[in-house]
Amino acid sequence: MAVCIAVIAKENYPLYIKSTPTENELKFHYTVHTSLDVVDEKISAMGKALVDQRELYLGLLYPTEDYKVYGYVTNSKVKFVMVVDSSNTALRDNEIRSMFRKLHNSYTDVICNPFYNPGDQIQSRAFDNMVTSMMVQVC
Amino acid sequence: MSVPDYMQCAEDHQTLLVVVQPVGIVPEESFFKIYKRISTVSQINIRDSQRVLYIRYRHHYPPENNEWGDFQTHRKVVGLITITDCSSAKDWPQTFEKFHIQKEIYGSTLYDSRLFVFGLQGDVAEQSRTDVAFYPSYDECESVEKRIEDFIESLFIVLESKRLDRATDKSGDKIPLLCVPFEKKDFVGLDTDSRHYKKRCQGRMRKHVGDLCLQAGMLQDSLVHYHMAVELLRSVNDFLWLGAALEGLCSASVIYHYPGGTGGKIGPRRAHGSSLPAEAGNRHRPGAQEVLIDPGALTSNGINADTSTEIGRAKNCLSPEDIIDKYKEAISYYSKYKNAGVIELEACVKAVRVLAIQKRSMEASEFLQNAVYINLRQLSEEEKIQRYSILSELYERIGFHRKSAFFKRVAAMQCVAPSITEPGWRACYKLLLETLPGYSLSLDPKDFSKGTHRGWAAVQMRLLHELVYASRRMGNPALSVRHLSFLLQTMLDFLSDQEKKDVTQSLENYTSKCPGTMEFITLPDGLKLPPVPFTKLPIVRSVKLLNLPVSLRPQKMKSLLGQNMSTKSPFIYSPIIAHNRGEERSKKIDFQWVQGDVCEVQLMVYNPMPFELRVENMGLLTTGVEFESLPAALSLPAESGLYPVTLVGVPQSAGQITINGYHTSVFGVFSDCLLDKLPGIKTNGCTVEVIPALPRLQISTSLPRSAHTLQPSSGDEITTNVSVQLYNGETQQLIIKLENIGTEPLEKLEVTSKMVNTKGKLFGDFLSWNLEDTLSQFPLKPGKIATFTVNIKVKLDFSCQENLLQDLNDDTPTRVLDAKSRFSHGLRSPGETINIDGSGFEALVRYRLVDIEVFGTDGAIFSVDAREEETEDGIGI
Repeated sequence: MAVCIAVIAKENYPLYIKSTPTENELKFHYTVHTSLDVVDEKISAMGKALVDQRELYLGLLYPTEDYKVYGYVTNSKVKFVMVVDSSNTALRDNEIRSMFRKLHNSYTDVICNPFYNPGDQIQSRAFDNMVTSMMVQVC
Repeated sequence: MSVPDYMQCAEDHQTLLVVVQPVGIVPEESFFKIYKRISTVSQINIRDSQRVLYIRYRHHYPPENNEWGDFQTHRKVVGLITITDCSSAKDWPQTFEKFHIQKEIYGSTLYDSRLFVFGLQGDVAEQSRTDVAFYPSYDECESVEKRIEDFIESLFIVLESKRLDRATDKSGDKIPLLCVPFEKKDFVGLDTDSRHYKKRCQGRMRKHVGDLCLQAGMLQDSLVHYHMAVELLRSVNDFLWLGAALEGLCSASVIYHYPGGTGGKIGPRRAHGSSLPAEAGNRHRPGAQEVLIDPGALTSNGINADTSTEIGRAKNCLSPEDIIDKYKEAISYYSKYKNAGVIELEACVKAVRVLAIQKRSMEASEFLQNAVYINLRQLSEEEKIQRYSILSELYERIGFHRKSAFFKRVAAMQCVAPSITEPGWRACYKLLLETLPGYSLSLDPKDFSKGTHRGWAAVQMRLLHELVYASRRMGNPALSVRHLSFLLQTMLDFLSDQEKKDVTQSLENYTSKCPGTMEFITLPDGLKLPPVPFTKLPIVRSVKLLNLPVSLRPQKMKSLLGQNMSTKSPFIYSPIIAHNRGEERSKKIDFQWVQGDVCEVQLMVYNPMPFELRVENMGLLTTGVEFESLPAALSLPAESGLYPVTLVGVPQSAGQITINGYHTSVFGVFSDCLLDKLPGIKTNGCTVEVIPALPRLQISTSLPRSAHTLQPSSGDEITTNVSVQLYNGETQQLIIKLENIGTEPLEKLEVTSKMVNTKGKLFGDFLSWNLEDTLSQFPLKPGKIATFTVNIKVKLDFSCQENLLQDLNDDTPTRVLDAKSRFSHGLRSPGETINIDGSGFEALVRYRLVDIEVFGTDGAIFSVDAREEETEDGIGI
């Protein structure tokens, strides 16, 4: 399943980033950070399309030797980035999509919390649990 | 072919490669001076036609790359220019011999060569040879450019003849098979008569002719040849050459579509163009325009019939989209051959440059991604650095700044890889600095002062650590201190407790050798590193200027002229002025400080570190009047709560003083923290008026202090109680010693007395004094003592009041002696001190000497409490 999940603010700084504890955390920071170039590029290309027709799912951002990086951007330009082990071939586009949708819903719940200031680090336990479940769950 | 040229771009396919090399001992500086002059001749207009030749100069070219010259003719060294230094005629034969040896290296492919001899004069230099030019010195060689132009033209003649030769002999019986070095052994024993083989030969030759046409400035022709080559080679599945033909097609189309070039080195090319005759204007569209303007020129140049039918139409040219598709196809063919890795890599780089111009970043990144995985043979460390740097540059070009920064950082790390014997810490540091924008990190702490830090802390911290380490290894401790301070200051919230300890530990180690300063550090390349004040070590929450202690506060004397003087305006009421005053008051503090007195500012600080924080040399930064700051050292316990710290100083002159901030020295780093840069700080205003120095008066009496106070003293007066016990009718002298302990002379003294409790029946003057004696000693110079004598005389009348004694026991008849000192300028009083102000103020002080108690009947005992009291009589300014 996912090895790293990140939520990135509109201004491109991380709101939340979690990776599997066994791996080198910094490596994923780099991976997600560089993937933002592609996200930016894709968003600016989409900018021309009508807003309501826009697809939130950005698809595969780029493949690396060991991982695949997928992206998703909300209408408020909050980005979700998911790094998936590329050996996991069982994972189809549809599954990735549904995972992103789940992530988006959970993020919406975080935002609904009146004590959360948009732009702050996400510290919600519910969100954390959801992400953890997405990282271990095998499908 | 093993050395990739990462700088290559599509339009290099139309250039002729000329190698310029020194022979013998030529000073490097002189060589590059000449090389530079030669390089300016990068394009030549061919006489009698509008074709343009482009020249690519190299001062170093590996001969094994030259062997791929048949595959892509721009890889072939066609010209050699040798520069040599020869001072005497007897060295000449030897020099000439060297020139020939040099020629041998590229001999198989050279069209022509030149030898430039510098320093030789005399008979030998007189001989006129086409291939040798003599110049007396490196400075006197005006004709170099002209020589080069002639040389290029001679190259062109050879090129043109080769092109015509190859283009026309297609009907010939046997076309030689062109091949790349690694193919040679594959064709041993192959049937040379088969159709397949012939087609292969034809296809390759066609491609070769296309290359030559492109170099000779005939773009349309080359397109036609490439198209035919593609068809031929596709039919025989000759993938490597098919790839080359496709790439040729792409290059020609790129040259057609993007006359400005894709390599970003348009500058010198254009600059030179302007120095040529004016007809150079249409030079950037070689071929295409030539065809439109002068179709006759081409037919006369003898291209075979089937290509001439295509001439004049741009349909052979690929559209911008097709260029990329064809590049993709070509690269996929190249990738089938392990030995063509360099060709594949270069093709990727060229395609990326084209895509960058087309602003198609996504596709460009795919090409780059592919290029990353192309495995060349074992690269040397230097080549790795070069490779990562170029990847970084290309990513930058397509706007992928983060990716670019990533690769630049990798390149930087490569500079200091453990396998390198002499790590290039300087280069590493320089490259690391260049990655900063990609990680949206600036080295100016001001950018971080606004609110919470938002960024990729983990990544940025890593980079800062690397900067620290690199600068340390560079042997620049000042730089490492600066970077480490920056790390500590800006990333404090993200550091774990252990990291905080480690960072401060190493910071202390560095500062022991080189303390951190508040100066800008200028790097050799002009970058300035601003100072990093530790505003978070400790964190200051509030700054409050404190009033002087009550006894030292200045009091305003009642002016004789009264209120009129205090209002500056002649009008009784003006709303505007009133409003302005309100504004001013909000910024200014409503008390004054006095020159020469110790003034205090209270800071509420706390220590965010998990260990005890030692702050040394903490003092105030001020502007306005001269201020002698008395620094303090403090030690804050780990993770302390708010902790009050009082900073003191002495104003040395009168006027306005503004507290701008404070300076500290923490872990050996000096910082100046300005208050207006600190977020979330509370102050009660920072500007206060300092009034001129006032005298101080110390008062002491001869009587013992009283055990109890008679009247509770209110906050704004200072009293001293002394007591004396007297029998009725007894008299006693009370000596009051007045000492001027300040620096200004005392001028006035007034004394009054008051009975606080008047229940006692006293007759006559209970207290009497003669002020004149004392006043004669005035003005009292600093350090001088005056005495003032008060006579206490107790006269009680017991006659009419029977219960008097009872009363006396219950109550205390009290009398107050008010010693009122009045000075011409004014004064203020501490408990036992009086100050004089020199600015037309007046202050008023009363000394209350007290109070008599009567006890018992036979021989009543009086108790006199001398009390000094100061009343605030000050009048608002």
